[in-house]
Amino acid sequence: MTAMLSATVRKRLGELELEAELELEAGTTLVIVGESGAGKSTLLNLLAGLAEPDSGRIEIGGRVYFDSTAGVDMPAHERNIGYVFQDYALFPHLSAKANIGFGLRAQGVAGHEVERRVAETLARLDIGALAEQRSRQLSGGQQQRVALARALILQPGLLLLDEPLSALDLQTRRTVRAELAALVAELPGVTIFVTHSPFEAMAFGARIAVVERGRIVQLGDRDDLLRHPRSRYVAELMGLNFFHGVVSSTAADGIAEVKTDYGVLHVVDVRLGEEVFIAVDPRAITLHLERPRATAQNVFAGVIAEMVPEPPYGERVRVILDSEPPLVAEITEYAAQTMSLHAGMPVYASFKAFAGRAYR
Amino acid sequence: MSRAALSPRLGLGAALLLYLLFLLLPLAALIARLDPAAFFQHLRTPAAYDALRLSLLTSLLATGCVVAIGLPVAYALATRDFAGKRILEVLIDLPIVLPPTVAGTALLLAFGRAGLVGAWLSPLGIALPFTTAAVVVAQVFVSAPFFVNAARAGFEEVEPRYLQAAATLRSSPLHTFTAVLLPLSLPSIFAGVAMSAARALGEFGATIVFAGNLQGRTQTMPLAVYVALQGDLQEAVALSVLLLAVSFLLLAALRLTTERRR
Repeated sequence: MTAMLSATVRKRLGELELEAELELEAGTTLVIVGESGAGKSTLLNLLAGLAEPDSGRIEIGGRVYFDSTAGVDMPAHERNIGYVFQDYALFPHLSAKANIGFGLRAQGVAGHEVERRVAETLARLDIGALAEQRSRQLSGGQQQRVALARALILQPGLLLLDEPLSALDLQTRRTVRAELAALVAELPGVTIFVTHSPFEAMAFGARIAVVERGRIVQLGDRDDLLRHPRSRYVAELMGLNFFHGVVSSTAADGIAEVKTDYGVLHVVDVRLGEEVFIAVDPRAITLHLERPRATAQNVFAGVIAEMVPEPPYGERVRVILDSEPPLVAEITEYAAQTMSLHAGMPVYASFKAFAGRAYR
Repeated sequence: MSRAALSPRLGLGAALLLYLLFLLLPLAALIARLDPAAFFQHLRTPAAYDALRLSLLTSLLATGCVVAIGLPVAYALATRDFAGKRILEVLIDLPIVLPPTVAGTALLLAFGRAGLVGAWLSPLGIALPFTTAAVVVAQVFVSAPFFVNAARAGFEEVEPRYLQAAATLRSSPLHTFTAVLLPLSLPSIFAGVAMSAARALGEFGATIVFAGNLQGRTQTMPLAVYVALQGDLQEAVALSVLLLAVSFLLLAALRLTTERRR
């Protein structure tokens, strides 16, 4: 099966140097997650034609939208793309109905045909009651539905959703996310969903691309990201401790030494000479008031930066350490109390050789 | 309240009062001289009637021309960057501060029989000076900047997000202009129309130099007031009060539309 979307784009924007390559098949959804300023919205704008790449090629549904070597740059209004903006950008002078019919009218579709298809879309998204309202009268969730309807009525080959949930309060966010995911799953085209929240990325998407400083640092399915982060950034998004190094020696007892940027680690299940990533679950890390003896193989000194109770009841606490590298331990509230841990306190963190999960 | 806080208040109050008196006194003097019983009679003299009709016609035509030319110019200034934009901005504003008689002289030297363009036009049987068309040209020249500046500001106030949204909804730039940009900047467009119409209606200096003072052809109301002043004072007063009322109403309407916007 050929890709529905294939894009290679490069764009320099001030400090940011965006460079991305995407290949997506029809009917798939990709979640792009990254911090604000990582280049997520810029990437969407390049695909939509609202900004011009410095170089690259964009092909969607067999049509070339942009090709710097061939000198092709199709204007935004000729591209078969739907875009739901972060603030929805509903036209304030038009009713919800007129907003939804805008794209058809712009193409000169006859009035009665516009009416019919708008009515159809209103019914499909279950927002018939909002038809006559102005955007100012709509709640955040309602505005999002109208913006989605406005984009979907044109049956775009590529649907771009830029933080479509961030303008909503927490309670509506959950229901709207579920509805949105169900709706998007039925679309024949490609959907790209951008978010800064790793939680939202995990909840929404099966396929996730992590963007950091203009680069896609990891692209994979949910489990791959959760279990095998390949950069400190992804590991932090997933709440894992992370190391990266080369196996420098192996011993008969199966315990190997890995040289990392932060000293030598002891791990198991690796081969000499290979480059490995090591993820350590925060629950596998033990805290001590004094430097522990040899039973635990990996020891770090640090100062407690922050203590965050874990939901739902806070009987577990995340202890964030100011150490080299920065570490997170998750311990019981009871342990934290008996050790009378508090921010600013110097402690030792350790994990056993078999607690580190090594992978290539 | 302390004296230190009181005295700036007094000072401001006094300045405001003085300014208000200065504005109101001439207007009051004008209205005081009006003979209400004879008001309509004075407006019905052939000269006054011609001037009324001509002013209405020319300022409507002038405003129409200003909108037709000014909209694309304002759009270009608001959305594009191009070489010489700064110079163009200065040139557009120039008629606002240029003495109208200078504008009239310049128009005469351009479109007059022996003028820069006029010399080419006259063999074709087209002679602009001292015609009603010349009145319109003079009015367009002096009133256009008021519209262009207001419309441009209106366009610039529209969130670029809406224009981008329109583009992703397959709306061509022309459709986006008429269906999004124009409706969203309508209050500013109205303000510009009102300002430039008022300016066209009051045009005197450029008109008398370039178009002359021919009753029924180029003698607009401001010119008629000037002529009447030398003969029948009551006629001048009646015409003046009418112009005053129209100007006041235009500005008041403008205020209302901009207030409602907030």
